[in-house]
Amino acid sequence: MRILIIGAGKAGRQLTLRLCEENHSVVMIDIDPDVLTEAEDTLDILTVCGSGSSPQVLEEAQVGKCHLCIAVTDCDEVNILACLFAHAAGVPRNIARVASPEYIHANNAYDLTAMGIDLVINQKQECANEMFQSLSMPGAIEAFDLLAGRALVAGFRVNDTTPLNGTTPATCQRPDLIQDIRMIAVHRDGKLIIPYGSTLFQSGDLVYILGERGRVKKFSEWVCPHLKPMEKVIIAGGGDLGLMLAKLIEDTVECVLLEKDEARALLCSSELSKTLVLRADALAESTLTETGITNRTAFVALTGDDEDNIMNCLMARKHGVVFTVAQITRTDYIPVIESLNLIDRIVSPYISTTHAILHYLRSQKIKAAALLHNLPGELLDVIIQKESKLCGKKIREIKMPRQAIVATVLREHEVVAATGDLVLAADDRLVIFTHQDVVKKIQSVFLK
Amino acid sequence: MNKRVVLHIVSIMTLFIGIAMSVCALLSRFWGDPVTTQLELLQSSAITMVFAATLFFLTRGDVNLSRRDGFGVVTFGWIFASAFGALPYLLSGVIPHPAAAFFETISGFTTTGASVLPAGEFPTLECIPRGILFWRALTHWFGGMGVLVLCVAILPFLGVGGMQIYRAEMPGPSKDRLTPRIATTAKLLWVVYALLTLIETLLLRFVGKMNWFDSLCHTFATMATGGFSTRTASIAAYNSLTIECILITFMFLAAVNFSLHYYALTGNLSRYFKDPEFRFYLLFWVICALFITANIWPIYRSVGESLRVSFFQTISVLTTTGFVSADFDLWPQPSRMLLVIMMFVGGCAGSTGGGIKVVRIMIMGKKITKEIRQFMRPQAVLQVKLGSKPVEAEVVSNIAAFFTIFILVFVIASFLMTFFTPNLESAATSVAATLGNIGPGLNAVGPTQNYAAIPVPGQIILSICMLLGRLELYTVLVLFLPSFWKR
Repeated sequence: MRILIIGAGKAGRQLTLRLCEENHSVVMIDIDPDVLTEAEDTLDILTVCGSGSSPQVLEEAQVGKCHLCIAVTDCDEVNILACLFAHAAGVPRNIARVASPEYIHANNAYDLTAMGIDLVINQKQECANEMFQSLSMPGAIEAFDLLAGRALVAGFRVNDTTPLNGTTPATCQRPDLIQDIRMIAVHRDGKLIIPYGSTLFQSGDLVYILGERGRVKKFSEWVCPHLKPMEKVIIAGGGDLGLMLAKLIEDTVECVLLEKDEARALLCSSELSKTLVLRADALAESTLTETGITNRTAFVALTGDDEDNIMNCLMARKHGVVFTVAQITRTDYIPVIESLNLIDRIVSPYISTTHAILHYLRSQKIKAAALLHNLPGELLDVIIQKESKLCGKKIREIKMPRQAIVATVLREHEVVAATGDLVLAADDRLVIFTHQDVVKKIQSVFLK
Repeated sequence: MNKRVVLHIVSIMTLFIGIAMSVCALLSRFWGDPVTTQLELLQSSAITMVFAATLFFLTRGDVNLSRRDGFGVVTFGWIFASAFGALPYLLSGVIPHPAAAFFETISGFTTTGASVLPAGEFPTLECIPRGILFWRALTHWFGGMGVLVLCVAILPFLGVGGMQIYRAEMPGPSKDRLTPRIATTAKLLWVVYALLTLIETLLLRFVGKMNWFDSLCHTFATMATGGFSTRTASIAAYNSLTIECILITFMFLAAVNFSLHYYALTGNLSRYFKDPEFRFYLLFWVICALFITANIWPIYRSVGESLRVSFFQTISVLTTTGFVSADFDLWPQPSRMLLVIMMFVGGCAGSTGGGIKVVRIMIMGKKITKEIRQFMRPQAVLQVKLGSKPVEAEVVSNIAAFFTIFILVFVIASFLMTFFTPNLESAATSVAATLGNIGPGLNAVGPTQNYAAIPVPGQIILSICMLLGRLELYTVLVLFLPSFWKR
């Protein structure tokens, strides 16, 4: 697929890197020649220098030949205009990053999706959603919705204290918890393993489970006993992101927002109803004591300064916070922070944008969606036809390659656990997780 | 430099070389060479392939190339290719000395066309087995578009690494991409190259009335701007205006930027004349050819004949091919000097031609005018422009450095060659002809002579010159930096 990316900023480059890995042809437009030279050095792409909203530049990048246009410059207007031009030039799908709420929450007459921009992404909103997800299930390393929110995929890290460590699905201590969910993948040393009844979980594994939301949540509480649902969330930094997050969570948990600037703090308190807004420096010892940290408190550092955020999280942990989240804008810092285990969860608006776009792209592929990041696995979506030979068969009777697993079954809009004894019926929708190598085999089993 | 990865990719390329030798052995059987020649070719192929497979196995693992590794892959790739490519000459005894055999192979791969043949037991090229001559022509063809660019085109796992290799091997100051992905670009260039090769072969066979063997060998030598012929007297042996016209056309095309051919094939013919480099190249050729025509008129005593040899010989030297249809060593001094100047100019960027490249000459010329005008009017804001686009200052200074290094290498190598050649003229032109990848020089290395008489150390110096010229200096010279070898 030929993809046009406008804007060689952090989000643009993150995205390009992932798309190149998937063997797409990428053309990149940016106004700054130096950034492009830098991008060209590490990425296998064609670059065009100029403004993304200029028809001449778009023409030079052969916009008409592209199958997808993604505009992620810092300027909303350039992004919107570029996508509108691309739409006019016949590009079938267009994605624009738009930050200003005025464009997003305009009334129907100004609806961008109606004008040909298929996906409008608000970077901060995506990031706030991701944080909300991880605060509501702190044990999961990553989590995302499937089948329009009916099912949830979540990844858990196994360490020495995890009850899963050293057991297999068959000898698990709580069979009642795992019978309703499926363990679909294990990520061990960069390799993908499809777990069976006899697969031994080891410390360091990343285990992905799939199931109905409530059940996944229960599993999460069991796997990470020290991370109970939070009672209190302290947010440092009342910027757009902090404000958005506070709005999302203030109805469910007690929320404290720390903001240094008086005017900004006033604005925050006027927008929020239940949150306690404190005008204080989050980096001061006294402030942290004042907020009243308990052992079920989460600390979220969302100031614009990466180093401040890291330090703030470390200080909060010293005060007894069990779960810390920091915003990191320089993606180069992330591997170090992760390997040193300084902070429980890192969020980055650029990476959230990348994930949101990749999710959108993959869910557009009609029957196949690769979802787990950096794993060579794919989720296949199969509907059992009436005339299929598989109707009335039990799942364990289907001859499947070992590197694939039926993850879940959707029957009449209900998620049913895909145990081996489940009898398949017509119109059942199966979600199958499979290693990339056997995708063709699976298709021949189910689609003949 | 990551030695394992570099050797891994080099081993894959060596494997291709081995396979190509087997093909030569098969054709050798088809053309009725002695059985010993066929076996010798097979033997070289087997040695190469066994070596390549062992190296491939020993260095297996992830392939992740940095920019530095790209230079390593290309330079070592060419040295390996030339070392193993010399096996057929050595084993068959056509060239008994290893240094001379290496010289011949590197001259093939770098599309120079400087030859140590015929010599010794084989007084003419016609008595050398066809399989060997075919291998000689095939080295040209692989070297023309770059055997490593071919690897980039067909090996899917190189990814970004492919870009590093492409950058290090393709000639010209700026590498333009036809498509976003480098593998696709490399593939398209090779397709255009193969297509032109096919057309020329058919023309030589059916219009030029050559046999299949000769038309294939000469096509390989033209499209790669190499210059190895299958006849001792080169093109003069055919004495056919038709053949010369076909060769002039294709030599001319081979030294044009292949991106332009691609656009032309996709229906955009006007791109040729919109390209400032192409216009300059065409104009320069015609002016030089007309000057030489006038200059050699007294010798040939006919306008037609003078035009014919002048146009053939000028394009042959300008494109750095080095085919010979007349002994230009007998021409008047101004014509001889002009030919030497043309050797330095060379073909267009992104073509198979050698030399400094037309675009570099143009940019340097404009830079000089700019500096002089600036001197007169210090406040003026002047830019070096190519067509209507300004050239980045970084590119201009890079080209200036290229010029200096090119001249420096030429001076040092010429000095060294004075030890191994009878006179100054031969010393200087032997370096000019190898550094620019042309082939024949003047005097002792002139069009009717060859490089067999040059002693071994001289041949080694010239071999290095050929590699420096084909890979455009920097790629080879970075290897001499100590920091290149550190991790």
